[in-house]
Amino acid sequence: MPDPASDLPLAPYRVLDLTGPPGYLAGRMLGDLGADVIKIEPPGGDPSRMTPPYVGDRPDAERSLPWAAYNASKRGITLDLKAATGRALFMDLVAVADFVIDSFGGGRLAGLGLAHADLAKMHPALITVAITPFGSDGPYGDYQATDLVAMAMGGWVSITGEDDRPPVRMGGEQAYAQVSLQAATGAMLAHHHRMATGQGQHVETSMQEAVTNSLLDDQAHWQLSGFVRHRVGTKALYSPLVAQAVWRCRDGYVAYRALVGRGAGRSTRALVAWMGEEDSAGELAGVPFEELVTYDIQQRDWDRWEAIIADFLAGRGKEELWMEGQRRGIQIFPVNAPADILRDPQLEAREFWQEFHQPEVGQSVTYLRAPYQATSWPREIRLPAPRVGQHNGEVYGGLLGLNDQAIGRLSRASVI
Amino acid sequence: MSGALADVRVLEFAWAVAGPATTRPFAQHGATVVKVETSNRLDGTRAMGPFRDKPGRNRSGYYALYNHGKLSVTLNLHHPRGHDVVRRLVRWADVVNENFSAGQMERWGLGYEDLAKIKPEIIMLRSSMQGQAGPHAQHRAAGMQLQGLVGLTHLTGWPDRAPSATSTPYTDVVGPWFGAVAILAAIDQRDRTGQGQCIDLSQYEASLQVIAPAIMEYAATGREPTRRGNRSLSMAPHGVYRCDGDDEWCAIAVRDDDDWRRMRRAMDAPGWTDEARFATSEGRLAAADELDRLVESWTVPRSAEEVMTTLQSAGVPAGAVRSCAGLFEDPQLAHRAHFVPLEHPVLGPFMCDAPAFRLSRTPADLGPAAAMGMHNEHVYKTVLGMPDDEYESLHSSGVFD
Repeated sequence: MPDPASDLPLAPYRVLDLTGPPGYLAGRMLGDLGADVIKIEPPGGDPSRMTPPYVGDRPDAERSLPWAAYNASKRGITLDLKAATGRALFMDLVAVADFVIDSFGGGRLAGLGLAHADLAKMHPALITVAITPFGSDGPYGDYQATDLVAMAMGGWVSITGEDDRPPVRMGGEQAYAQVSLQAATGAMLAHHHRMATGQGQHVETSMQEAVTNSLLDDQAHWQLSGFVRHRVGTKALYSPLVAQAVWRCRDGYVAYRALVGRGAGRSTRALVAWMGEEDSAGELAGVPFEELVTYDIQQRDWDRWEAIIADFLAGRGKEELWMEGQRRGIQIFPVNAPADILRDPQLEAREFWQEFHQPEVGQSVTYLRAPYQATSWPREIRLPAPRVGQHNGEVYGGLLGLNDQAIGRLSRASVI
Repeated sequence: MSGALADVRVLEFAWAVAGPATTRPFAQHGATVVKVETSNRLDGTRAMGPFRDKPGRNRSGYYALYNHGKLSVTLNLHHPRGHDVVRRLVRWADVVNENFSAGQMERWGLGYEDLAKIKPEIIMLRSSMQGQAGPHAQHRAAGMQLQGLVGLTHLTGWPDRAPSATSTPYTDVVGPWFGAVAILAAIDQRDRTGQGQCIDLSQYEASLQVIAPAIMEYAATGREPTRRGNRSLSMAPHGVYRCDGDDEWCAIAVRDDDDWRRMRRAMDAPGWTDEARFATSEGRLAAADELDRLVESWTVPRSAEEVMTTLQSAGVPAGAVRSCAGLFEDPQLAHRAHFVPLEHPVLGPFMCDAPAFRLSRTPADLGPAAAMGMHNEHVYKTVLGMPDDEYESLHSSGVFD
């Protein structure tokens, strides 16, 4: 709840969170920084709570792990925006809120009379953030998108995967992640302007553009050389070569890039030295990695060198390659599975994990904290993901001043 | 000066992508971002291609993508008189942004405690790979390898193949958004309380956020999530389907039974779609392999555009797999003016990405990337108020190398 005395920077501010999966993380980011984020779900709960996997493998609105991951640091209420009384309650909440974030798309809020202009009439300092699949107008303004579709339309799918199979999207749901990350950034940019001027504004965010904005250097390659990045499986492009990026090792895989040139080539030389100690370096011992540039190397020579490295890596475990590699100035990282990550001593030392005991599911659930430590910001997650309507009493009663009978009537009428 | 961040001053000691990406939205919205560079050590992306015609410190498109709209000064941090100049820059700044490995700023006398002595209310963002402290804080790493550490690689690709590389260092564009939001929150707090802040961001931890469900799944159930190609645990059909042409594909995601009915109608209900087992999500998921083959029998004779428009007209999520070249021809990105041409002294016209978020009152205004040291006189003389003779003296001593 807003508490200007709190050490967290966004403690004085309140966010009404109407999001579905594309926008959950945006609200979480602001909640982690101290804002009072109120997740507003339809009566009965957000249908996207029924997303596996579930705690205990039991499908249940209180057990969805994807839902929990991104809806921590929020209070939860239920509200039917389709009901006129529901919309009136929403306006009462807007009056005491600083941000409204939604991901309905398709002019849904405008259709309910809850567009930015409608809300700003009452609350000119309000910042509204709309997460949409492609933007609110234009040839694809009405198009629908899930994460996979946005990743495809934004350019990420085409560059990932094996060339003898369909291209794939990256693990997780990165279009949802990116549009949330970027929408939260837009919200805070608008907030800064508001702090100086008192003016709110509307921040419209396109998921397709969020994906395109996360492509790194594809746009530069295409513009400057006409090169179109494409998928190369376990390899990656090392212009103009195709170079191994993921390598088999004894107990799984490691991520490693053999590099050339001053600086980068030094670590390759260090790997060759290690291999040499075991008589495994072969012709690599004579290759001047630090003096080479990729443009002077033939692909078939590069492939032959990498085959020698592959043999060496294949015989060793990922932990050894990682730790001994670091000792020798070589960057070989394990391809970690979640079990490895949960054991990582660095994350332990950073106090990254937080367990909440959740009696309604009969066990503790481990959450991830926000990814930074700050001088005076407490690291603890204050709230696990809320149960359906968990904070109806606190919000409708405590914040809006409704008495128990009024809340009961609204509940029986399925307005909340 | 206009823009949402017109009054914000950032001093940037950042290199490669993660550091500069953090302040890209700031520069796009009117902040003054001063990058401190040195001839002795090129910012990673200045040395990385792709280049216009040939390598050169002012010829990198990669640098331009992440540093457009920022000012560039050169400063030799090892020069004995350099430190005094830095001190003046810190006093000018609201925010110091850095992403060197843990300990590097301290070696330059620019750790947080050093900065706070110069300006107690300074806000510092430090974006290291794994945090400033801890048993692995000193590990050297680059974005490409970090994908492996953070669990992204493991989850990418096919269950019966080795994991696929993510092609580019995606983790470099996750942390920066967390950093940007944290900086803006810290500025708000400073404006209300006068208090500064050091924000120690771990790119590793930031990247874990975007696969949090997989990690929480293992922690809660003891079961390791695995690669699934393009499959979903709850939706079918859900995948990338071959279309007519060379390496042309369309992504399709049928969210629920309503979408399935709409898709059937849009396909003119081929006989196989009548099967009762396909009527429910459970049935479709159970038969996903066969369903994918059947859907592809419909998509293969059609162009990706036709598949997309046919299904989208029916309200079913579908999207052509765009290559980078395809993005530059995408009609919606054109409608959004996503690619903004910027005139660069060396690159010539070069398009940078507009932000995905559009502020209605204070929209972005993109400026070109700077040649190295291009703003020395402007920053040192005009902004810091350095007299001409002092500037000349420092310049000839090599302080601005």
